[in-house]
Amino acid sequence: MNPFQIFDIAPSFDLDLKALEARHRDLSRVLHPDRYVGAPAGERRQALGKAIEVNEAWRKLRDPIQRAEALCEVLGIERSEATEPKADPMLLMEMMEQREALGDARRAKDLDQVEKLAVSITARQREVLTELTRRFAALSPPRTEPGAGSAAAGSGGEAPGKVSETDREQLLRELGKLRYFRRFLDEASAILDELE
Amino acid sequence: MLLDIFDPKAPPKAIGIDLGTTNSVVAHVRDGRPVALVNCDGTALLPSVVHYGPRGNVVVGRNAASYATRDPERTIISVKRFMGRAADDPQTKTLGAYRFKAPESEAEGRVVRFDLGSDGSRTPVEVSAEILRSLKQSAVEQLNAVGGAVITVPAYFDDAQRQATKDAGKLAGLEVLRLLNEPTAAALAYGLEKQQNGVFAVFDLGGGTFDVTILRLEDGIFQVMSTGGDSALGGDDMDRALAHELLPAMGFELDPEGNTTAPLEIVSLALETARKAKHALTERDEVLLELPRKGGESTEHRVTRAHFEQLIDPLLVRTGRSCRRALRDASLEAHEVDGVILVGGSTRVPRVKQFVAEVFHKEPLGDIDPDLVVAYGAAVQADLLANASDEVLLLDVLPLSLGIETMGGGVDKILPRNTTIPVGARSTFTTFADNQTGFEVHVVQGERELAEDCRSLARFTLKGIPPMPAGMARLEVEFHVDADGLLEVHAQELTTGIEQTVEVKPSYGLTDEQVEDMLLDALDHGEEDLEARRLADARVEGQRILHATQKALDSDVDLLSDAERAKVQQAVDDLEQAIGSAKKASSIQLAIDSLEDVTHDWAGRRMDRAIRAATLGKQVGDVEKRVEKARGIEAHLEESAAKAREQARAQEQARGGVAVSLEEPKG
Repeated sequence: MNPFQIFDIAPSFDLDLKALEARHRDLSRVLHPDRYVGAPAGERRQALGKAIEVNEAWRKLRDPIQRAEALCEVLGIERSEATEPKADPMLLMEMMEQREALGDARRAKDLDQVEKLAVSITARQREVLTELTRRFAALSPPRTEPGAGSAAAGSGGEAPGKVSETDREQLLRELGKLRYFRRFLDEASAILDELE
Repeated sequence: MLLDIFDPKAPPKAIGIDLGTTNSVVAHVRDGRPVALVNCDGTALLPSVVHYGPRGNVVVGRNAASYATRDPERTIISVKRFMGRAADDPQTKTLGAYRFKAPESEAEGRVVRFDLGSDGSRTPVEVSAEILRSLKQSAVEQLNAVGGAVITVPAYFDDAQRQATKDAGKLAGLEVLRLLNEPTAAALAYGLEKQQNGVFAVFDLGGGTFDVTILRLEDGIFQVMSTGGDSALGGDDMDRALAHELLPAMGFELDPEGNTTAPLEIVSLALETARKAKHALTERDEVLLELPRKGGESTEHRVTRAHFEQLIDPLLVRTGRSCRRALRDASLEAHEVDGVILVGGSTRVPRVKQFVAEVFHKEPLGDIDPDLVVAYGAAVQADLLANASDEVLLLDVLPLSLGIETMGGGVDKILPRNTTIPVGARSTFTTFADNQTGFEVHVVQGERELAEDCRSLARFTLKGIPPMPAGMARLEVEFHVDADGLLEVHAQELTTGIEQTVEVKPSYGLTDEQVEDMLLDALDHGEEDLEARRLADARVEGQRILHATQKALDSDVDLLSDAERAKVQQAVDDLEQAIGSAKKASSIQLAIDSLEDVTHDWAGRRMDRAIRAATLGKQVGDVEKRVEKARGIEAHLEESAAKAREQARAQEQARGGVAVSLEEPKG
């Protein structure tokens, strides 16, 4: 089952994280190993397996990159190293400059500068997330039920239409940007840990 | 006072144990409230000290502590600092009255061992087991029978340290229901008290460990958002900082690494004096210490609170760093925290309280005794688990990232820190040389970039890969972390269709056989006693399973076909008979296994029903919900048939090269 099916929600990039969290709590109430402490070993194993699935799905759905990847799979968008579109040279240039600035800030032990760089990339990340939301929404069939996060019966379900090559390329390019930003932010946070 | 009337048929009671660096506590829930049980010292706090006397005589607690300065070599204090650590761990180099023994054989592994001179050596697991055994004994005396136990561990304990704690529990003859993180235990004790939703920070500074945990309490669910800390930072380090000044005053020099020529008795005395000074300084502004000097005479040494605070400042700075990182990991600002809870004896130090207030911008709560609150929480959790209560649930996280060493010595993170557990993850690797038949997997835990800087958990080689060109073999490594935070790793080679599974033996833990052997050694009559105990355990287990099965029959019998139901009934009867008459644990186990066999599919259906009830209950369409809930076996059989149809159709489409549709058949 894909993570959307495990959470019984319609596949979408624009998820209501509050509702997702509530669903996670509901599923955990039923499946958490604490509920099966007195159960026979086999039943304990079964429940553990399901609880692991739920937490794995939760981890994927909460993280925009992994959510996008899961959604690509649902929509039949092929992702592989060979067919991934090349990164925009402008972006590569920008990231190179930013990383240099980050390295300088690290050497100068300039915490404020590291934070400032992280804030600016976080803003860029937000733009890309908005863009991805828009693009995915244009591809996904309209929701059968109004209200974010509410699930369509038998969800994970609608047949994807064929995604055009242009759409695919643009989507994956945005996703690629997100990965660059993530790596940058991870690095910035490691530097903050180290400098503090 | 009400007297407990002895009832030989009373069910065994679940207990909670705080196995602390300085003190340990056992508690249980009585009339809905956690209470600490009195230990062999007649108090709630049992000093975590074990003394190995001549002729195999072992004492624990206050009596053992009285030997600390007289017989330091055979008196183990703060054993928790060494749990799950290797013989060459930096912890063994810090100032302390210990003598360590180098591992003598491959079988002794890399585990650190305390040298007891003519009485051989002991591992931290064995020493901890003595403390647990003593607590269990006290509980048995007061409760008549003890069921399972919840043992607490610092949230920041890594896999090896957790495994060591669980092994100690097993070795003490306890059924370990769960390893519970100490801050989460404290939050549980507070949360039930206050019954309020919100975000809480738990600041837990114990004798040897520091944890900070940020969690959200919402409608009975304690969701840990992030955790951080240092499993080698605590009140002991404050004592050591002061002892580093006392030793020179006593005429013994220290080099910058903390090495000293002072005999163990003097080191022990300096640490003990420092600890007393620390306690006194919580009330007073200065203390005058009388110290014996090398050569005979004594000297006076003045310590002011201001000076002591200056000494411990570097330690507090480290805790502050962990707090800010935990907040960052939880995506929260300090002012968004609704309450701060203080846990651990070291939070009694006035400067620590003040520091916590500065970090979180609010006065911390400390109304439950910081020395008992963790044991209270453990007792509550033990009670919840034993009674299968569904009012409260703790959702904890993995404290440190798990990963695999890559070719260049880096780390490929497979599960990041602060992931909600239990959880699993997979990663695939490939061979890098032609005809490579083995693949080494090195599992590490930690946040550092290089594998050598992380904790090494396990190393194994996947063998028997058929010769293939480089990059062709596909190796899948699967991580499972259970609700105790314990890791299991499986590795498989996928391309050839031959699936190999490797069970990983942790570098520091014990195998089940080793635990068994040690248990045998500890029992007077060896084999005989062990079999009697196994039989008793099997009876309890059998009863529990009968009880669980009956409960399931009461609620979900409609999910069984008639034929299945007859099989279940037969297996139940067989198990009942085995429990009544079996002379060997294995016959009961056999009956348990057959009952499990015939209930396996049914258990899956019951889980699906519970999931449906939990999720559909929250959606629009109440009529539909009731219909779904009332569905019986027919609906489930129909559903699995539909699933099979869908699978077949999908396969067919995949073969035809058509995009696979995920649409479910309308039924």
